[in-house]
Amino acid sequence: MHGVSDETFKLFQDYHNATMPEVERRLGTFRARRVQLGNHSIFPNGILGFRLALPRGPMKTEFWHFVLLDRGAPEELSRAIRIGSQANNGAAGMFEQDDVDNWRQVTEASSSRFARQLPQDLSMGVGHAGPHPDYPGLVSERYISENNQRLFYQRWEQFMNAENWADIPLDPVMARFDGTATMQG
Amino acid sequence: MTTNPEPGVARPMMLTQQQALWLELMPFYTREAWLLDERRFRQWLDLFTDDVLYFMPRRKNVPRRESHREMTPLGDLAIFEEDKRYLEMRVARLDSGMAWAEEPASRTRHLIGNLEAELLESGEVRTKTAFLVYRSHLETDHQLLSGCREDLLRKTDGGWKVARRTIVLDANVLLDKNLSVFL
Repeated sequence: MHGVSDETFKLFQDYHNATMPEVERRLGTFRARRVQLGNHSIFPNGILGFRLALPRGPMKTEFWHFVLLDRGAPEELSRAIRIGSQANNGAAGMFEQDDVDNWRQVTEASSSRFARQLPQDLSMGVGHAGPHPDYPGLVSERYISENNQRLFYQRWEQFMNAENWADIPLDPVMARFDGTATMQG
Repeated sequence: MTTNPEPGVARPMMLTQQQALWLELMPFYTREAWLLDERRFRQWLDLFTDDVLYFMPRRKNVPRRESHREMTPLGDLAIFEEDKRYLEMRVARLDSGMAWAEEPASRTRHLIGNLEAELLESGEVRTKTAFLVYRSHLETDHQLLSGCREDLLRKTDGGWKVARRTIVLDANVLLDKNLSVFL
């Protein structure tokens, strides 16, 4: 059994505890202890993990999934992470094999004459996101919402419609950067 | 003048150990293929030891002089690197009704052949088989998987069981939508 399981939980916990002082030094206590990545995404490609979606022409997407390992992590832990990730996210992965069928069928269904006349409904959680005292940007008060998707497409629209890079608006960086790792260089 | 043997009457034959092993193991593989194609996956699981390693490395497209790099070693990212509990999980999810890659179920045909068996000093047997597996899914999706398997078989009270299986596909990049059938 691999990935995070009853048997390997202690490996993850020990590593977390052992590296916490270094993480706090670099990120500050707030980012080290409060910000947790679960269902994270990084515009425009990272969705539910560190991935790359390459458009390969109409109706074709090539999908890369990366497994990130800390060079200094114990070998046993690296093995658990690698096996857990490949068992879920490879071509035969227990999540990925289902997702490919889902995504492909969504794409095919949405190309029909009638489906093309309908806007995509991404309204879940509208009105339940706003500024947050601790986090930058719009923060949803619910774990499950389409806040992420709405912001993703709004941002994507800005990129697509911009004449050049300078036209793409950038909000001032308001996030708190304690520790030695900052966005200020 | 020769007389034809009576149909159904066995004639004694001297078999070499190699031939006897082949005759004993070919039905094992035929049965395994039927279990998979008839979707009797829980019975299929019983063909594996509790300490099984079910392994499918990636196959790389490399120049001849670098053919030592063609197969990724154990420890590199693999397509399958499963122990018994992972295999059990894969079978259990098929019954969940939410395993969309197999809902509705694939129609498969496993053709297994080219068996070679070698008795090891440990009493275990190393076999090589080749396979062609056809999979039809949904209305029009289909795929053909070609490759070989190397097994380590162990004789137990419950008959032969696979203690280690290495599956090597002939394809470099998997051109199909996913790989959701057992090989």
